[in-house]
This record gives sequence, structure tokens and C-alpha cells, in this order.
Amino acid sequence: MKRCVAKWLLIFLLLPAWLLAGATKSFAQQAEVVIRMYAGEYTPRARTQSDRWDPPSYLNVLAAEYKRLHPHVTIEFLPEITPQDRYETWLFTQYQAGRGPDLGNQLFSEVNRHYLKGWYVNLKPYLEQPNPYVEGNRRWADIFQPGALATGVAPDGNMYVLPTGVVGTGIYYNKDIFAKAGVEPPETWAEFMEIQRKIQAAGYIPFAFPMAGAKATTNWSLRVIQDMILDSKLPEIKGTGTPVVRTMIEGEGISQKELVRAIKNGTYSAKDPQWQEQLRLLKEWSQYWGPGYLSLDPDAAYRLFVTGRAAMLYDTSSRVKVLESDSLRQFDFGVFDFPRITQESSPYATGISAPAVGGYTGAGSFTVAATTIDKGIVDQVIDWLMFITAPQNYIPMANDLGWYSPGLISLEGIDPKLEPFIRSVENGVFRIESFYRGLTVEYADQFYRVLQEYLTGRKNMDQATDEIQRYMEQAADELIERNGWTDLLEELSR
Amino acid sequence: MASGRVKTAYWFILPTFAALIALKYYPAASAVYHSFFQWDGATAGRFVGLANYAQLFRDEIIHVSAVNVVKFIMGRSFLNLVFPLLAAKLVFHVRHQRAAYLYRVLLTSPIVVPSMVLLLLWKFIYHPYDGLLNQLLDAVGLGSWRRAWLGDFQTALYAVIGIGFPWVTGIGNAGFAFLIYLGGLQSIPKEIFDAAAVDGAVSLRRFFRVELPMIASQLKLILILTIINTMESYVPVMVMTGGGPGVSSMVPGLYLYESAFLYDKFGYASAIGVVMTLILLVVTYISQRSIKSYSEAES
Amino acid sequence: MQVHGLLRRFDPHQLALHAVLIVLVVLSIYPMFFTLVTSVKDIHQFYHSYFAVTYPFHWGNYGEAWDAIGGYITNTLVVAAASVVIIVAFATLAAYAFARFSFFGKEALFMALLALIMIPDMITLVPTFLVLRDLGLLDRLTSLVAVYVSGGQVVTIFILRQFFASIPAELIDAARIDGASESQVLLRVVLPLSKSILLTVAIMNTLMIWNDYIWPLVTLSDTKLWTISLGLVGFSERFAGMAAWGPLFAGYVIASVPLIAFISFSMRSFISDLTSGALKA
Repeated sequence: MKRCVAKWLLIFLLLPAWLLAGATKSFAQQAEVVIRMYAGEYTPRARTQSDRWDPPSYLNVLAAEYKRLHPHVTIEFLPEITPQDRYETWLFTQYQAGRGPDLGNQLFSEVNRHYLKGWYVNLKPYLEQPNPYVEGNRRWADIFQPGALATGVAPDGNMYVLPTGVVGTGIYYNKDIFAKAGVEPPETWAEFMEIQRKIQAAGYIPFAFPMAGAKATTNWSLRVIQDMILDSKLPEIKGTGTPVVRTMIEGEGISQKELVRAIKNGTYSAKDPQWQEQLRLLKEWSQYWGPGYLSLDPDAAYRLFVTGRAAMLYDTSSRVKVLESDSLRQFDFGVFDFPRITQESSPYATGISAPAVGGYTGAGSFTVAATTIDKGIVDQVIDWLMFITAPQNYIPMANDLGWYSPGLISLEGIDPKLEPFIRSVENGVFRIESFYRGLTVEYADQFYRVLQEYLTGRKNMDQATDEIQRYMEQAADELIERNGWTDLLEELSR
Repeated sequence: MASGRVKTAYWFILPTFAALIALKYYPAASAVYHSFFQWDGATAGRFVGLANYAQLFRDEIIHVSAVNVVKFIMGRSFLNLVFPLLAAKLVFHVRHQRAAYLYRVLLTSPIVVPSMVLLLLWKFIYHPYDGLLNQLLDAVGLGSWRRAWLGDFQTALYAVIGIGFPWVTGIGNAGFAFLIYLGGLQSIPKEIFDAAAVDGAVSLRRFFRVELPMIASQLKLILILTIINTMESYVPVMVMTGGGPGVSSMVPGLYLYESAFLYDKFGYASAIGVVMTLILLVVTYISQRSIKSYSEAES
Repeated sequence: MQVHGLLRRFDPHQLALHAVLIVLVVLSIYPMFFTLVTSVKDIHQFYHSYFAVTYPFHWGNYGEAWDAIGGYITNTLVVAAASVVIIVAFATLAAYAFARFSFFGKEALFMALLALIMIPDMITLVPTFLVLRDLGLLDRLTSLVAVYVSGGQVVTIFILRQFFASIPAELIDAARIDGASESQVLLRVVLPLSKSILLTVAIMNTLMIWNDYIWPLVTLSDTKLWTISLGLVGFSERFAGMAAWGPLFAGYVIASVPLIAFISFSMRSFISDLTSGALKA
């Protein structure tokens, strides 16, 4: 009898202990969440002796704060991988192997190229939920600039990326050279050409324009010029006839589908004299780029500028810190906006101001890997993301890096040095994108090559535009097929 | 016993082939398989039969690349056959042992410099404004020859071919070529040298009549390796010119890389790769026949 | 010391030889000099002057580079050593078989082997990566060794085969008559004769592995397993798209020290080969 009781007593005592242990164990399992985050340029690191200013470290502060709130979560920062092509190869293979970063950082155009591969979580439903870290917030999406949200939309209508890093550009200029040549920052294209003529006469290279390596300068210039030159034709290209307004979203004015339609029905064509103006103007400008611009890469262009031999350089907001910290630099520099094209320079000009180049392409372009769903941590990752994007956290983080502005509506406390760049973007970004991100990467490369042949006189306008038109149409066909736009085909055949 | 030796032969080649099956033959088969598809590298592809191959033959860029790669191969072959051999011969004749050792080390060590550094250095040398080459031309009074070497349609490809002056070590296989030629020269039996001296053969003639044939197999080896490496090469062109200006320096290896990783056309890239492989097979088979008859020993 | 020796000779031919060689050496060494000069520059010095030596020297670049890659040298050493040993072992066996035996299918098998190096690496990158993933080898140094072993085999076999084929038949027959088995012939007769070529292929393969960054990049996500080339990755676009040139080049210098040591060590064998008279039958 006693043994029986003892036995049952034992079981009674052990059972709850065992259950508790099991529960604790599963609690412990639930407790350990590690979020692998790739933060791009925001990746925190310690200052080293080769740094000329403090590198970003704010994410460490945020991670520590988050841990205080959620002790069972650890944020692991993956080391930054550069340059871009290595990063993309790495990212591609990581996603392939199911090991992509839980919270990633990727250009929206890249995400919208790869979204069909099932690598990313659709963020749209989460954006409808309230962000607990922002006081009084009902809908997470409300804290972002509409431009950020619109830029992140994929062709299928979902959102696989939250591009919140705003970048701005401007033309940096050497004040000393300008003084020597007796010129001022220009307002119009005609003035722009004139000051470059004078600078060249004074013995300097007017504009360090790199056409080798990364195509940034060429892309930006063409986007800006194209926006101004096609201003009067944009409603027709859009197909709706309604005016195309400038917003903070690059290329928003004309969507890819609308552009493809315009190519197929001939409104957007390389044989159109109005379209051809951009090439003509670029060629006119190219005489001031100095000899050898075809082999100049961005580094070499920067070098020409910083050693005082070139008067101007087209660059992003991230260059300010580098220039300021350079003690070997022997001149004062300033930044001005791209000049406006007027009737003086082209019959098609409407006098509209130049659009900004920039938009949501800076670091802070967040993606959540689909593997987090399998791992059961997707909610935690979203929560962490909500935490980072809360203005009281994001703005200090952006100030810490000093290169990009967060795409938030509330920008209280943002570093004033970033202001001019933000302002230019707020005034409106280019409305039509046919180069780098607009059609296909292959088209961009093909266009670029013909452009070089045209600029150096190896092909004339007719030959060049014949070829470009061909490539354009091929790209349009490819996009129709890739995206399955059969409705477009039907519409065009009518 | 012959059959025992045959069995041993198979055992000897077994480890190699075992290692190669999973990581070389299977992926190669996969690549060939995908050349008949339109594949973006991640999702399942769409079968298109020979469409990729048809497009390949019509592609203008392929035509330009093909011509360029032939020039590239000829250029690099010449450089790899002549200059490392010259250096090897010079070192071979140094009498002072310590000095010879020093030269050997000094001429071999530069191969430890990562190729990226070399490419960057040469990019600077070719720089239109402060490049060493242009500065040198100015200094010797040939300033009119100044140009943007990598940015000129006429010179871009040749500029890339010519990197690595004096071509004794560094880019391409030059460094190993030097070692292999040196090894080859060292393995020429002494009697041959003595006999030639007795015959009164003066150094240059002796070189062509006597030494060259003795190291012919090394030369053929380096030639084949150079051809194969140069055919697929894409990093130098990618870093120096990106295939430009225009397409003047485009090579098949780079176009393959771009098709796969930039344009999402893995199927097309595979097709290019397959064609490149077939061409190389033909070329190598022909030269293999001559090597085979030259240096094989029957057991 | 050596100079005295040279001058005493007074042989015009030798002097001319040395003159030309010295010029070649200086020109060939220049890239290493450039690496050293750049390794002590800071970012602004670099942009203001590519080639010239600039003061002050930033020795701290070496400290920074060491921090970035010091811990990874062991990994690289292990991978390189393991891979090279296996490559040379496998390749020696296979090359010897192809060179000196005759067996059914030899020609075809050899061509099949050769065909492999003609396949561009780019088109097999993704399929190979997927194989590694399916075999569960990702995030292990073993995967690197596997990739390098399969990658280095063919060229090594190609080079060794030729060398083995040129060994005088008498030496081998003599050993066989003595009753040695094939493996013993290989070990006792052929290998000692092949020291220099074996070292050459060892150097060749070590080099290809040492600086490779593609395979470590795509297969190793665990930073504890990283190799030197990955450690340097952080320097590539440190400042708004511009590289931290100084520490990056300092990293290259540090990384090349073991290689140079290896090379000068193996050069001694080249010399000993020459003086040993082994091939002078």
C-alpha cells in the first residue's frame, strides 16, 4: 500500500516536473531567435586607422535596445560584401541554397527582377498592420513616403521590398577653377555649355564624365535630359493623354508596361526627332569631357576632380564626406543642380526645370527572406523591421551614416547637410526610365555601346538610331513574353 | 605482366575520375542540358530546342567576340612562347649559382601578386592623363602617340592583350611557362650540349637546331594551355574595358558571363559555352595527335 | 659578395646576361613594388597620386589588414595544403598511367579528361554549386577542397603526363627487371626524378587556390571558415563605392608572404636537381 502511494506520489510529482521541463524546453526553444541581417552600408563596424571619419555603428545601439525589449532575440549582422557584382553573385547563390539573409538589403530593381523565384516574403499584408513602436500608428505603411511604397511594388502588384533609402545627386564643382575662368554655376543648358567652353579655354577639363565601368553618370544625364526633352510628349507616351506629374518615385510617370506599349505603337521611338534630341545634346556636351573619357571610370573621374584638373563631377550625396575629409584637396567645392534646357538649346524644350536623379536606391532597401516562414521567425523579423523603421530610430541611424535620407514622412532631426539632396528629390524625380532599370539590362548594355559609337562619330544619328530602335523593340517583345502581357498584345493588334 | 599492368592502370586513374564525376562531369552535363532551355538560373526553364544555338550564330556580338578572341589567343600565345622562354634561357646560362637561384626566385615571385592588382596597375598605366605609358611617350618625345589606350576603339583590345610587360611572369600563364621552360632546358642531357659545341654550332643556331626541338613538348604544352585559358578568359577584359568601347574588345568569355548573370539568360550562356568547348576540342584534338606521336613511350 | 664574384669573372657574355636579366627582374618586380607602395597609403594619398611614393607612411594599414585576415590564414593554409596534396597525389597516379601504360580506352579517356578544361567555368558555376548544396557540403571547408581538387586535376595531369612520358625507358625497365611492382617503380624511380615538375604543379595549384574568392564566397557563410580572399572583401568598397586601397593592398602583401616562402623553398630543389645529375644517364 505504501509502495503504491509512493509510486503514485512519485508519478504525480514527476509528471508536472516533466511537463514543466518540456514546456520550459519549448519555451527555451522559442526563446532563442537569431535574426541574420544584411544591412549593406549600414553594417556597423569599429573605426579603423584608415577611416577618415567614423564608420556607421548605430545599428549596434538599435540591436542592444531591441534585445532589452525582447531578450530572446539576437540580431546577427552579416559582414558587408562589396563590390556590387560580388555581392550579387553571393546573394544569388545564398537564396538558391535557402540561406539568404533573414532581413536583407537589395536594390528594388534587383528584387523586382528576381521576385518570381520565390525568395521573398510579400510585405503588403504586414504593412497594413500597426507598428507598435510608432506612437499612434494604425497602419505601418503610413509612416513611409508614398514614393517608397510605390517604388517597391513588383509587376505582380505585391511588395517584396521596402525601399526606404533616399539618395540624391548633384553636380559638384571646383569653386577655384570657376573663379579663374570667371564663371558661375549655370541655370540653363546654354549657359552650361558656355561656362564649359570658358573653363576649357582656361586650360582645365570642364567635366569629368566617366563612361567606363559603372554607368551612373551616363544614366543620370540621359534620364534628366530625356525627361526635359520629352516633356511635351509624355502624356502621349503614357497613352492616357493626362499630364504626367513629377513625384518622388523615379520613372513613376511612365510604367514599364506603358513604355512597352509606347514602343510597340511607335510613340516612343528612336527614329523620332524629338527623342533624338537627347543624343544630339549629349554629343554637344561631350566635347567638354576631355580626351579619353571612354576609358575613364568613376574612380578616375573622381581623381581628376579631387586633384583639381577637372572642374565638375556628377555625384551622389555620399561623396560629401569623402571630399570634406580630404586634407590634400586644395580647393573649395560646391554643389549645384542640373541645368534646365530652354528653347535656346532645343526646339522641343518646354523650359521645365531639370528633374532630380535619385530616389529610393540607397541602403535601407529591406527584404524579408521567404525562408523565415519555414523557420517560424517571420513575425519576429517583421517586428524588428518595424522597430528600425520607426522615425526615432531610423533618423539617427541615417545621420550616423550620413549618405542617405530615410524615406519617412516625418524627417525631424535629419542632418542638414543631407537637406539639399533631399530637397532636390522632393521637387520631383525623372518621370520616364528607359535606360538602366526601365527595360532590360541587355537593352541598357546594347544602347550604351551604340551610344559610345555615336558620340565618337563612328556611327551617325541614322545608323545609331536604327540599331537602337531594333534593340528597343527586341526588349519590348522580351518583356511582353516574360511578364505574360497578352492583354497588351491583343490591344496592339486591334 | 601486361594484364597486371592494365589492371594497375585502371586503379591509378580511378581516384581522378571518381573525383571528377560529381563536381565536373555532372555539372558539365547539366550545363549542356540547360543550353536547350531558356533558363533564368533559378526557376524551371522553358525548353526551346536549338533556339539558343540559332540565335548564337546570328548574334553580331558573337561575331565580333570571335574575331577578338582569335586575336587575343594569337597575341597571348606569342607572348607566352617567346618571353618566358627568353628569360628561362638567360637564367639557364648564368654560371654563378647563387645569382641563378636569386634570379629564379625573383622571376617567379611576382606570380603571387593577385591578378586583380596587376589589372588595376595596368589600368593606371594606360590612364589617359597620368598613365605611365603616356608619360613615357611624352618623355621620349613621342607625345603625339598619346591616347586613351583603353578608351580607343582601335587600341582597346590590343592594350588588354599587351598587359604584363615584359611578359615573363604574371598575367596569363607566363610565370608557369617560365618554370616549365626552365625545367625543360635543365632536363636536356649534357651530352647534347657538348656535341653541339664540338660541332662548332654557335649559340643562336644551336638554340634553333638543338635546344628548341628538345623542349618542343614543353612549348606545345604551354601553347595548348594558353589557348584554352585565353579562350575562356573574361576577367581582364571585364576589369579593363568591360568589352568596350562599343563592343571593340568584347570576348566570348565576357559575353557568356553577362548573358548568365546580368541578362538572366543562363540557357543562352550555356549554349555559348558549349560551342566554345566544341571549338576547343577540335583545335586541341588536332594538336594532341602531334604531341602524342612526339613524346609517348610504349610500356 | 655576389657582385665581387661577378666582377672577378670579367666575362663579357656573363656581364651582358646579368645586365639583361637585371632589367627583366626590375620590370617584372615592379607590380610587387607598386603593391608595397600602395599598401602604406591612405585613401586621399592614393587618389592624389597613383604611382609615386607618398609620405607619411601609414603602417597602421598592416595592422588593420591583419585584423581582417589574420584569423583566416589558417583556414586558407589548411584548404590549400589539403587540396594540393590530393591533387598532386591523384594526378601523379593518373598521369603516370596515361604516360606509360597502354590500356583499353586510353585515348578516349584522356580526351574526355582534356575536354573538361575546355568547358568555361561560368556555365558550370551554378550547377556545381547546386551539387555541393545537395551533397550537404556547404559551409564546410571540405566543399572547397572538393571543388579545388576537381578543378586542378586536369591541367596537372596534362603537365605531369608529358613529363613522365619523357623519362628514359631504361630506368623504368631496369627497376621492373629488378622485380619492382608498378607502385614501387613510381615511388622509387619516377618520383625522385620528378621533384622539380611536382613542385611546379604544386606552386601552380597553390596559387590558383590561394587567391580564389568565388568558391569561398558562395559556399561559406560561416565567417569562422572564411579564407583570406573573403577577409579582404570588406575593403573593396569601404568608402561610398571607393575601396580602402591601403589596407586592401597591405592584405595582399601579408597574404603573399607564405607563398613567397614556399616558392623560394622550392627553388632550392630546382637547383639541387640540376646538380644531382639524376637525369644524366
